Amino acid sequence: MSIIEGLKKDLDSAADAKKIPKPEEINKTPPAFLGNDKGRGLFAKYTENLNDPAKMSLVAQYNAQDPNIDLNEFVELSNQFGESLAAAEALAKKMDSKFVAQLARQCPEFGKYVKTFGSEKVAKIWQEKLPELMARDPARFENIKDAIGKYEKRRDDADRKITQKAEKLGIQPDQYASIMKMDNAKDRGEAMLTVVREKYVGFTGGLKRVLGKLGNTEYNAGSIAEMGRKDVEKAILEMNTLLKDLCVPLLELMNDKDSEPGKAFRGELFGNREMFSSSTKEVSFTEAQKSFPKFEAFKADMEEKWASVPAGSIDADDFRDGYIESELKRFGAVSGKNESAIVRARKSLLEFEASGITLP
Amino acid sequence: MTTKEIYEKLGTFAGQNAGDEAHAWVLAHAQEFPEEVRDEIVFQFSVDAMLKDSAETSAIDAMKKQGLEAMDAIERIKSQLQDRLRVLDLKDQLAK
Repeated sequence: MSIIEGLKKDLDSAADAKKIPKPEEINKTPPAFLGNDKGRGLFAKYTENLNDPAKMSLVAQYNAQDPNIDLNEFVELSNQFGESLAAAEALAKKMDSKFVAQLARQCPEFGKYVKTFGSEKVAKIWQEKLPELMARDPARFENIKDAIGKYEKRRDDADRKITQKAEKLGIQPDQYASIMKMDNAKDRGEAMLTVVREKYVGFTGGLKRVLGKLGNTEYNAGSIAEMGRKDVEKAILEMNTLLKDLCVPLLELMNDKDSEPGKAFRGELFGNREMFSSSTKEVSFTEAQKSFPKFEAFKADMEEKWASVPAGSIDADDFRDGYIESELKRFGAVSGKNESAIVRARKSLLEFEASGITLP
Repeated sequence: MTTKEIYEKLGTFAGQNAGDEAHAWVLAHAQEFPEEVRDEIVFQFSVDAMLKDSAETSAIDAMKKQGLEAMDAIERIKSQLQDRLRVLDLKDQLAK
């Protein structure tokens, strides 16, 4: 007997016994997943989380085999759930050990779990639990589905284009590679920041200058048509420099996701709000600022405090202690009585140091 | 480690709003958990980790996209300049 036949038989018996209308009477076929225990169990879990009282009532009526249940609505609700379940099962099927390992390379935090437990184990857990997550917490499941979708798209999109641009420009990220070979994380962080800062001097100023010229029509089609040979040759060289100055940091950003230099690099990027501002093009940094508010606030606070300290009047330890104390106040904690605040304050300090800005 | 001990420990982290510390603790001690509990906690924490990565990735992706757009704009200018250079070359050749 097929699942559908079994379900039909159950429903027919129930309908006969409780006078529930038969599916054919309402011209609907109940979804197949309700014909097995797993499907029924997930549906029961999912419907426990429904926020709509009318839907909850409907499910309660079904569970109680209430003869007044509106099977039409119930079937529609079940079909919606069936679609979500199918999506969850499809995603679970995709999460094999190979796919999990790929995700781990792109997601450093997720990667820690894969490194600790192995891609096969994590894949097995996800395959088993993803449909349950959909049932228990549909919103969180949707977020995960979107995140995985983004990673898949990302794998094929921006990184590939940046690589193509780099190849076209003849850029070999040797400098980046040599930095990454340094043993000491702090050395790598400082070296990377030196490179990034050097790039910024040319990049930020250069891009603003060029885009500013565009805005002032200095480089529009009409003005270019009037330019002499020397100016054209100089401008082409300027464009080449700008392209390289932009492509190298993007390559570094693309390749370095979890190291201290990578974090520092991103901190520098997101700390530099003016980077893409120009008279012709305003780019929103809302997303970036949302992701790194703590870093920026911390950096600004630290810089302000340090600027107020007269040169040579304080040593590094005093400055660190003073900063930790101010952090404790910010968290509303009393010094020495709130361990978590101390932990957070010290962690914040470490984050600041990881940014590569050297304390005296 | 018993389920009760794990629950209490995670409760302490939750009370302190110490998400990062909780992740580190789970990674360090999960092998001591009962298997069923471990699988559930590893799943929930790894989901959390992926969503955290996703937020950062979105910001980085936006940066890359903006960078690529800026490069496209520069390449368009460069192309116009190269056209101008070809025009100048042609004029020079014709003048000879």
